[in-house]
Amino acid sequence: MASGLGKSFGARAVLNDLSFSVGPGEVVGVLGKNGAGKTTLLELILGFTPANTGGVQVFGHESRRLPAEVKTRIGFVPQQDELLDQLCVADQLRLIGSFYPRWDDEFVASLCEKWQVDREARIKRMSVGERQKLSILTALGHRPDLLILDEPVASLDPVARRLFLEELVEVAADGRRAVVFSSHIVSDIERLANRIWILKNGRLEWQGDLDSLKESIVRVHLHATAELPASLDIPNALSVRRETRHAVAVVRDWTQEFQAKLASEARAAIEVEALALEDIFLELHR
Amino acid sequence: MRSIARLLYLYFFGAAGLRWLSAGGIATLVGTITAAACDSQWLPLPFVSIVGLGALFAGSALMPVTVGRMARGSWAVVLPYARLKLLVSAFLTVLLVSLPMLGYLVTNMGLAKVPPNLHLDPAIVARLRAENLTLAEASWLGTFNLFTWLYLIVWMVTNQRTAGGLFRALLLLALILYTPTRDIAKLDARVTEYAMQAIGTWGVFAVLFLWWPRWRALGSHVIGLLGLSQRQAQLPRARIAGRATDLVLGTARPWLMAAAQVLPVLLAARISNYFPGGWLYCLVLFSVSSAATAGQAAVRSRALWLRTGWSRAELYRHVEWSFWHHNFIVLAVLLAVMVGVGIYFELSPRLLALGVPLLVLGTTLGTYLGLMVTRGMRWPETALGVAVMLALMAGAVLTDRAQLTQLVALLTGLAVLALVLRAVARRRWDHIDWTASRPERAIRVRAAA
Repeated sequence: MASGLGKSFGARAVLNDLSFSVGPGEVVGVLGKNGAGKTTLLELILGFTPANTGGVQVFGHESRRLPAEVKTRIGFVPQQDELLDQLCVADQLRLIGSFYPRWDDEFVASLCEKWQVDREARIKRMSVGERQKLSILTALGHRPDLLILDEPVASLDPVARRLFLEELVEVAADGRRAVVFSSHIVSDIERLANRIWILKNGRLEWQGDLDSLKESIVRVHLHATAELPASLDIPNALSVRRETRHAVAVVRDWTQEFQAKLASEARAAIEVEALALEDIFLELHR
Repeated sequence: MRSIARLLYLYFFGAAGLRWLSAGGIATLVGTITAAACDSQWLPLPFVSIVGLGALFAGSALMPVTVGRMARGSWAVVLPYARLKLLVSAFLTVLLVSLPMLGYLVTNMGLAKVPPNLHLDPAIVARLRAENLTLAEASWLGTFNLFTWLYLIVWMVTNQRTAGGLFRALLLLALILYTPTRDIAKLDARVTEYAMQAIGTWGVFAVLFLWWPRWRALGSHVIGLLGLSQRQAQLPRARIAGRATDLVLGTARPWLMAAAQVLPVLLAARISNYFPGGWLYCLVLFSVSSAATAGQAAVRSRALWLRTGWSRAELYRHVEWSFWHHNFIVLAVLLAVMVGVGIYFELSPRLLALGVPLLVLGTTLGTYLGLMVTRGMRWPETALGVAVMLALMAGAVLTDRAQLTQLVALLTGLAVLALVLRAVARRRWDHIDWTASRPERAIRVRAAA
């Protein structure tokens, strides 16, 4: 849970006045352009860096001072892995496992088998994708209650990505755990997340569940029998393309009342089209 | 405890190559301690025990690398008690590596049996034993302190591969070379002083390491308060001029490297009062380590290969020239400092005269050892590096004592070796494979601020 969260690097404000909360069973997908502050946001949640304003509470504790018991309930996959090149996979897993009292060796072994991770392989000889799988394993092995993943699937092939996403679904399925993950692969977020955070210009442009987002931001087609009024103004329009008797607009905060009002003003039939998450993201960043 | 034990195991036996060094070191030390306990009079025993100690130290070189890497990344924040456990594991490693020294010294000196033909007063024997034990304790504590700093140097060299990192490592090296050689020269046992040094050093480490995120935050806060970051942002960016090849290879600023050596060399000059050979070795060590930055050449040359039309042989010629241009300036400064310090401290002309070829050979061997590394550091390169350092050490330390013909033979041998290394390097570059010579994955250094 965070309120009024802000972070600047020098004179550059990266995040501004963010407030949010994540509860058990929620899978939050964080979307944003490069440099939008996704990584900074995840690192603030984990207390890696102090916030300039506001603060984050994780399991009731200030994120900058998380006690060990809370840390055993958190798993984190960084954007770039931090594996120890000199070790083999089994040693790396045993090392990380030794820090957690609840490390589940059997679970990790089954995941290794499922994801085809060779436990005897030397880490420095592994490909980027294989390293990424191992990095994810180190975060899942203690079955964390809060799993935070920064671009976890960027280096995975489609098969591994699908397997990982399935695992993530299982992690979140019991309703006791929460997952926060950032990704540029919008389709993954759409498939997996039940809540969406969209970061833009340092602010949370949108936060809420995916269905509400899809109902809120829609593409509207106006078909009039006569010429559309020149003065027709479509409020909350993110983009408008108009011709003589037709117009297409992407509108946010769309409601039934709004539809009725626009239909009477434009004297046009209105057709509402739901957008895919990727389209919504692109429209918000026009 | 489980994680500390796991960390310790990995430091000594985690890396494929190093585990044999650790095992060899342990076996050697167990053997020498047993031999000492059996009152062996075998003369090379102390030397063998030092070799065993060196092997154990080298075998645990993963410790500073692991601690440095884990402390700088997210694991230090995410894993429970990570910083505390890393610190304890580092302390225990130094303790474990230095403890055999105590075992050896106690069995060899403190518990040595009195030959039956010597009819000594039991009180005198008891006093001698007590004094020997004190000396053994002092030597052990001195070794403990020495290893503490040596691990720090390994950390600096492996984690901060910049001129700044090298400067700090050389500075520390000069200091730790000075302290033990001074103690050897004085031959006095100061248990309390060494113990205080150890406690003080580890106390400061602990405070810095455990609360590092707070120190960083405090530093950032102070910088913010003073407006230094804004002022720094307004400063014009330093421009580095030079040939494209030098800029890509990192050899565009030889004066920076040369300047980074001057202070450590001058600090080390204090050794020259009582141990001129040790000081000369210190200089040779600096010349080799500065030149060995050529070890990065293969990785960096990929960019040159992509942007120029050179063949692999032409590429090698350009790279070799670039490093020689860089290393020659560094060497020239080192030679000038050596002569200056030599004249000031009135060192023997023989030492200075032999110092010149030693430094030149140190730079040459360092350069070609570095250029040979086209597929990462592996066993042959490591073994060659150790052999070269030992040969140079023998040459430097024995400058004043050995016969001139022996020294000339050694220098000639090293010169021939340099030619061989050059030929090997050239051949390797003819077949360089950049898929096997890739930059290390960028370490995530966003520290927990």
